[in-house]
Amino acid sequence: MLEARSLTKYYNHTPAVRQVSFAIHPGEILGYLGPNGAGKSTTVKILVGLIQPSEGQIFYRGRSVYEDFAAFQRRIGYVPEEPHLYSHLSGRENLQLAGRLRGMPRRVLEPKIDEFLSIFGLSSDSHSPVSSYSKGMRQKVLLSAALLHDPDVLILDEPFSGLDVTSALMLRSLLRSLAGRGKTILYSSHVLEVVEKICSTVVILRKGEVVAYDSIERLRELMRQPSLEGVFAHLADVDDGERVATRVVQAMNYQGPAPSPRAAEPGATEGPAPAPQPERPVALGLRAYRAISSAFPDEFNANYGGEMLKTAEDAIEPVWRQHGLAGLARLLLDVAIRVPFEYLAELGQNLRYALRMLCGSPGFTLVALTSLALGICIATCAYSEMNGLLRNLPRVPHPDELVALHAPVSYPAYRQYRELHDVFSGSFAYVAPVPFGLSLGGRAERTWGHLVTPSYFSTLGVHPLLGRFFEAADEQPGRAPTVVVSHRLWASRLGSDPSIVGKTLEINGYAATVVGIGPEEFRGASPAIFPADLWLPVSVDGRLAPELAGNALERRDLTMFQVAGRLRPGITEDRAETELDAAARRLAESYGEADRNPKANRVELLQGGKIIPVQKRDLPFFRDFFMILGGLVLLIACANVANMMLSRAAARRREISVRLALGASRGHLVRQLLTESMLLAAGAALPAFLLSSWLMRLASSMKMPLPIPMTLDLTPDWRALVFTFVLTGFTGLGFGLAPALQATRADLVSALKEGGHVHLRKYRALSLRNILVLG
Amino acid sequence: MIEAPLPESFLPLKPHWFHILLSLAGLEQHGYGIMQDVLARTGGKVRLWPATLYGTLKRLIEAGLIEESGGRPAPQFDDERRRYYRITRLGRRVLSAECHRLEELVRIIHTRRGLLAEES
Repeated sequence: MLEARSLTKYYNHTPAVRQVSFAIHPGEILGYLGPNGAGKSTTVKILVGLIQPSEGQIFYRGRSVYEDFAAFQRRIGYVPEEPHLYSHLSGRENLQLAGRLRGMPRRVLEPKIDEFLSIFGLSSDSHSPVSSYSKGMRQKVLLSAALLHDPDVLILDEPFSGLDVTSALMLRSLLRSLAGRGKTILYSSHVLEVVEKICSTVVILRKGEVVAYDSIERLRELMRQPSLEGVFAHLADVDDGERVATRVVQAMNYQGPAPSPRAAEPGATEGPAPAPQPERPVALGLRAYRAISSAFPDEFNANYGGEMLKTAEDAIEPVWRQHGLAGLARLLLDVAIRVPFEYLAELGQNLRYALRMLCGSPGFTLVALTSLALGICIATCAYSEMNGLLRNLPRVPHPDELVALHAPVSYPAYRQYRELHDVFSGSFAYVAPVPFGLSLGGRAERTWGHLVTPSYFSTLGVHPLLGRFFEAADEQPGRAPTVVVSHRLWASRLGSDPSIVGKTLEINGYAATVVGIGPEEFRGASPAIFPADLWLPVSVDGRLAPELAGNALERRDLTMFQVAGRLRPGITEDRAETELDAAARRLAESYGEADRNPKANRVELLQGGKIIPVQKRDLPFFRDFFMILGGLVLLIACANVANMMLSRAAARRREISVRLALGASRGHLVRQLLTESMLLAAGAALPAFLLSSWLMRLASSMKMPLPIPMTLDLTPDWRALVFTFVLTGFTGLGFGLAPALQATRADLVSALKEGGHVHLRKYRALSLRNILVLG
Repeated sequence: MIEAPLPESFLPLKPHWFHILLSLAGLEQHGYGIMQDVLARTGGKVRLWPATLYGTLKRLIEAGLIEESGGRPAPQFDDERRRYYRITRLGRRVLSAECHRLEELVRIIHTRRGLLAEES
């Protein structure tokens, strides 16, 4: 018994035959039927070993023929559809060749050849070359060659083509008698009469698949068809000749696309209703509708797009007639609203899927989350650090206008500088840091403060929360000492006493009258390095502020006054520096000092509006150093995760390929993979932000081992949160996009076949993964 | 295998879902047919605009309440872009559960109305 099981053959990924199974018993002639291109010849070629099946098995007498295909081939006789004969050889020589190839001894072969030649009436032509033979004669030679070695299995592919009636009759009875002698015969043809006469069982093939496999009688019965022809036509979906002829004529008369016929109402009578030209708004509306609906996700469009358009086309006319423009607008609004809706639905689906995927591989997820969280944490810390260092003075308007001298100067020098009214709209000097002993509840506490000129607050532009700041009168020496208290000190040590103004505080053993409370957050002109809680005028008595003892305001060797000023609009720092330089030179000359280095700049300006005064040229360092550092660490984390994503993508190639094959668009899959990486990034961002908040709080509360007060608030604020958020987005894109693009670029077939031979590319040295590994 | 969801878990049914299921309860239909059916049934009050209609059909299919049917009408009435939908067993059970719920509501409204009438 010859048995074919699930034979499948692909040509260029399209199946020529699919899952074809049948069995032929000895003595049986199986008719193998099908329209052109149904896969008949492919099956035959698989059976005789000319081509290999992509899938499936052939069994002969219970054993797979592929165990010893040569032995099986010796048992089959094959009449091919095309008369493959050596045309320069004679009929006899062709037969001799066939016999020799079969290993037949000459003494058996020669008489047999004579016999066959005479049976088929070829004796007289047996020595002429085959090229002179008619098609029927060649067919006879082929038949002879197939039968020469008395095969057990006979496989005939259209053996009757070119045979005259007598030869056909002869062949028919020959096949019957061979079957009677126990041969196994597969007879492939589309000549139905012959099949009907000689075959007991038929297989009908359509588009590579078996659509019927039964005895002819049963098929006729089942299909209620009087003839095999009827059965065949029905099953093989053959158009009847007349219809085909009509279509051919139609095709010949084709003149270009007809105006698209208006769809008939369901249930409307059939008939070629003349298609009326749609009105202009309708046509426009339809065009807009098409344009909008093309924005739907591919999955939706692939499944419902055409149908939805069709329905819209059907509906638009009635809507127009009934509701006019408003109706058209409603129709368009409907589709416009649904577009984001479908994307949201897809996003929800993607998120669920991504969550499932990530939960499905907890090891990967954990490692990826950890490295991303660390990377994002460090980048956020770097940002917070930078943000903290470069923060502007709190509560101070227009901090950009403020400049500060890089080094403290003497008070006489300051007096010189403050006369530069066309450069500065205001300027001030202060001594910092100044420790005061503040007596509270009988105990003296060291409290840091500044000794300031009255212009200090007005130049900075801050306003008191309570009371007032210093006036010019406060500069007059010999007045009762006054003090301004910071909001922090007032709130923490003085119980936020609302009637504090006018009361006295004991500072360094002397009573000073509180004139005002600074605004919240305000800690003076250099809050990071010398934060102040008390401000006293520079005119206070030397006993209260020992720094000022010994007529400090008049001594030009006592350079302890920090000077800052607010530049007038339009004055550049360079201009200010030049003017200050000139003033410094004049001052030196007035003292009769020799200018040792006339070219050198005596005065350098700093950014006075920052909590740490830095030189403008140093700004990039503060701004960029930490960012680059943090960015690099994050980049490493991204590369690490991208690498893992890539190897995961390689493992998921089969899944991705199957989804591509099932019709998922590449865009959809990329979006899906990106959703996964975004989810990962977002999952990492939360712990990262918390961790960096904690770290930076720790850093802020660190006490420097220095005898000066320092406060640096580096805690991440909302800016850092936004930064982390944006960073996370870029991170997700950074490590997700490339792997997603590469994964979905997968060559479908190699991935589908046994799922995971990764197709190594020739230039692997430059492949993404290697670059990332290097990174 | 996921267990078939309880019909009650879909209640109360969204109006669009209800109308589509009701249209498919009788016969298989294509999208435009459903639209016309709903329009006729509600006296023109409810129009399922195409995009909403197909969005809803998609969700109904995903929920397993309806399915695509392979059947096609005679060729002269057919358009190859159209597809036909039919209600599933689950869909039928959901529809009937929703109908029961609505009937119950209507009954309650009627008794209430009776009370109101007496009061006035």
